[in-house]
Amino acid sequence: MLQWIHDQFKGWSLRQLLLQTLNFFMIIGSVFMLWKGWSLFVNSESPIVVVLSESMEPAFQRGDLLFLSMPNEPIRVGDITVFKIKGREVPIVHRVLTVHDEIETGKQYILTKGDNNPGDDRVLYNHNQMWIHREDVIGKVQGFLPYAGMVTIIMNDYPQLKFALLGVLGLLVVFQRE
Amino acid sequence: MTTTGSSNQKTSAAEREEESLANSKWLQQIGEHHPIKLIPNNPADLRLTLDDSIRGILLEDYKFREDNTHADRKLVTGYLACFIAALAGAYSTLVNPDFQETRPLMLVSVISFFILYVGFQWYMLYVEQNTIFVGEQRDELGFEPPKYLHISSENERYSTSYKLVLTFAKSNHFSGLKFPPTIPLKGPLPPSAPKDVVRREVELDIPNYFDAEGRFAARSLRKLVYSLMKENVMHVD
Repeated sequence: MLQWIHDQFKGWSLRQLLLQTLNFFMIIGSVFMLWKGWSLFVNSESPIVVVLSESMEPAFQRGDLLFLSMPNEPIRVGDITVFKIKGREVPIVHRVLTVHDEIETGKQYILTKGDNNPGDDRVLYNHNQMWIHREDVIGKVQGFLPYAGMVTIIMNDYPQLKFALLGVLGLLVVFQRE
Repeated sequence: MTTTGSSNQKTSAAEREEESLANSKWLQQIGEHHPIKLIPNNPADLRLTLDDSIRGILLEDYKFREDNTHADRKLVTGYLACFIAALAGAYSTLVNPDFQETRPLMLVSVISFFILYVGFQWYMLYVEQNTIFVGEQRDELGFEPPKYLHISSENERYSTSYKLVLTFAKSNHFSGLKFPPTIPLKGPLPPSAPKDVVRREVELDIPNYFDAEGRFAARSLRKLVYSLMKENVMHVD
């Protein structure tokens, strides 16, 4: 095995090795920066999310890909928002049921509910929390792609796949000298 | 009657060539230790082997010193860009995950990354173009001025012919940052080119250098390089 690896790199100078690994890093870097650029453009920390639960059926199914943006306008009833509850990592995508705007400060008090849930989200919010606010909202759903996010769900269920995929891609890029 | 003849030319051209091949360190290395065997269906691999072999011949047998300016510039630009991306990623994950607060910093990193990235691609496309080799041959004894050589290649996608363009010069016109380059890298030399510059083109048929099992005909390539180098560079053998 080691001999095979040595044979692949036989005759490669340090510069050639650095150039080939640079190819790999540039690809990763540009994908990452495109993602960051996109999130800056739409003003949302996560411009794409995957639906993980059935709480928004029939509108969104598990595995759908959602495109988010966070425009400067206020949040309105009926908006489908993706928000994070303080202290929890996993974002939730539900519809806005009620909004109260405080006149002096403009602060918004938002209540959400999943279309497919029997009750509103106060059961999900933190203890004694009745509302979420604009800071908790990651973005509003602007569009979606059905089932496009299934890959992410599979990779989350089987994390070895993630590493395997990255490893294979990496090897391909380093060894292909085109 | 003894005929003096010209004793300097007692060896014919063919014999000189044979002598050069016999003295070729590169050929000896290839023959003894690294018989190159490739997958014959991968044209990129074959071309790259030819490129690498030519480089090997120039470095080993003709004692060229390779000019790594293009590679170095690409490495610096590329790794700087990746470093910026890595720094931005590390900062937003480890130091301050808040999106709104880190917006200006992220904007600066994204913009500088793409400037470097576009610069990198532009450099490869317009400055480096098809360059395979840039090098310098110095006379160790210091009697002759150094000679510079630039090799670029042209190859159509599914064609078996591979054209090499060799440009010889007495001063280094090849690794500058000028755009467009001082001497165009393709086609015949323009009349405005300096007088010390000589260009030779040769078209190789790739199947002539590899057999059906992918074995590389190193000797044939060495002969080709010998014929190209004959008048234009110093012989080391």
